[in-house]
Amino acid sequence: MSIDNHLSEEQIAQCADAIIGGSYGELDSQLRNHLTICDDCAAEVLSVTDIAIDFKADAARGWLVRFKPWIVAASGVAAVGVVFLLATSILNQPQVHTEPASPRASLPLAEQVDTPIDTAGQTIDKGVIAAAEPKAKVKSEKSHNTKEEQNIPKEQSASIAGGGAYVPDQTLEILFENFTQAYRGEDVVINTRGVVNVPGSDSLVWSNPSKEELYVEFFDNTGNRFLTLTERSSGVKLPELSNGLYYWKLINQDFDLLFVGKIVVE
Amino acid sequence: MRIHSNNSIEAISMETIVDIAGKVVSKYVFRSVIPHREKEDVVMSIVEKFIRSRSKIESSFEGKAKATTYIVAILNRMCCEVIRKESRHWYSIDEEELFKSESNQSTLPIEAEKSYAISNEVNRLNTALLFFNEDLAKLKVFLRCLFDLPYNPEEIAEYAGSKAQQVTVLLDVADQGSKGDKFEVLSKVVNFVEGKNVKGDAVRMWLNKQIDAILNRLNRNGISNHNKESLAILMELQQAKN
Repeated sequence: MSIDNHLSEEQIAQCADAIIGGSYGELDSQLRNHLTICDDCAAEVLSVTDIAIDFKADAARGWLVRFKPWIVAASGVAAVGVVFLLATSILNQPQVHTEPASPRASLPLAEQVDTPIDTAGQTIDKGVIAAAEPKAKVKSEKSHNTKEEQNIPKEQSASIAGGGAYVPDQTLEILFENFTQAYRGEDVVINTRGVVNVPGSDSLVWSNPSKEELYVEFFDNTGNRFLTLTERSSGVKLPELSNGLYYWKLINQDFDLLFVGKIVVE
Repeated sequence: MRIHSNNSIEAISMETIVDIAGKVVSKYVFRSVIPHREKEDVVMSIVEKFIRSRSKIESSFEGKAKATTYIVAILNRMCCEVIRKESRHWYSIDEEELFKSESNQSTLPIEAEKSYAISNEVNRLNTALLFFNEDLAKLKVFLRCLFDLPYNPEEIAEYAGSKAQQVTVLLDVADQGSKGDKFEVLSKVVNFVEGKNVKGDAVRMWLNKQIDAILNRLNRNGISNHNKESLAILMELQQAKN
C-alpha cells in the first residue's frame, strides 16, 4: 500500500479497534506499515480512536444508567419464574422427565439473543438444566453478583464432556490461539494463564478496576456452553469439573469477547 | 444507545448514530475547530449526510471493524468535510459576537478541563507511538535517554532481548554525558544490539526524524502545538500514568 493510497474508513476503524483492543501488533502488516509512513492516516486513526474510546465509555455508562434497573427487575421476575416452573415440574411429574422452561423464555426475543439471563448469579443452559433437573437445587437466595462457588455436579459435567474429554473443539481452539498473544479489554487485564491446569488452580483471575459487569462462559470440549456467570469482581472460582478439556470466555457488557482460555482437568 | 452484538450497521439505531455524531463534533468543538454555536448544526448536517448515504455505507462495510467504530470513522470524515467547507464562514462573523457566544460555553471548571486535555494528549501520544511498529521499543528507550527520563526495563528488554543487561549499563553511561555524548553512546547501543556500524550523527538524525513525525501527527488536529519540550513532558506524564 503506497502513501498515496490512503486507508478507507473501514481500515481506519480496523486500526482504531486494534488500538483500543490492545492488539495493534496483530493487525495486518500492510495497514501498520502504511501508518508508519502516512501522517494523514495516522492522524485520522488517532482521532477515530480518541472518539471511539469516548463513545464506548459513554455508551457503557448510559447502558448501566438506562438498563440496570430493568435488568434487575427482569432478573428477579425470571428467577421467581424459574423457581416456580422447576418446583411445579418436580412436584407434579415425578416420574416423567420433562424439559423445564428456560429462564430466557420469559423475556423478549432480542433479549434472549443478547442478554445472558442472570437468575441466581448464573445461567445454565437449557440442556444442562434438563440433565441436572432431578438433582437440581435452586439457589434463589443467591445475590446477583454472588462470589460463591458455582458447582456443577461431577456426574453432570461428565455427561457434558463425554468420553473423549480431551479432544479439542476446533472453533474454540482458533479463538484460544488468537488470545494467546493479547487480550481485547481496555480496563480488564487477564491474570490467569492461557491454560489453567486442575489440580493446581481453582480460580480464574483478572483485574477489573472499574467493576465492569462481565460474563464468564464455560464450554466443554465439544463447544457446548454449560455455564454462564455474571461477575463484577476480579475473578471466579472454577466450578467442580470432571476430567477433561474445557474452555472459558470472558465477555464484557458490550458483548466484546475479551479473552478465551482453556481449563485442563486431570 | 444499546448496540446489538451482531456486527452490522443495520442493527445500530438512529439514536446511536446521533450520539456518535454528537461525540465526533464535540471533539472538534473542544479543540475550538468548530465554534460552539455551530455544534448542533454540524451534528444535524452530518447525520443528514449519513442518512442519505446509509445504503452505500452499509453495503461497503465488510465487517472487518466494529460497526460503531466504522460509523465513527465515517462521521469523522463527514465532519472534516463540513469543517473544510464551512470554517471560513464560521470565523468571518463579528468578533464581538463571537467572543460573547464563546465566553459562555465552558461548563467544566478550568482545572478539570486542563487535566482532561492533558490526559487526552498523553493518550494521543501513546497511540501515535504505536504506529512505529517494530521500532517502538527502540524509540521509547532512545527518547527516554534523550529527555533524561527513567528507563523502563521492559522496553529495554523488548528492544535489546538477551543483551538488555549490557544495554542498561551503556545507557547509564549515556545519562552522565552531554547530549553529544548521549548520541555517541546510543550509536554504540545500536551497533551492539542491531549489529550495525553507525555513528552518533546517524542516531541523532534518525531520532530527530522520528520526533518530527510524532510532533507532526500530534499537531495535525489543528489545536495542539507540541514541540520537543512538551513531548518530553508528555513522555514523563505517560510514565507517571503507567
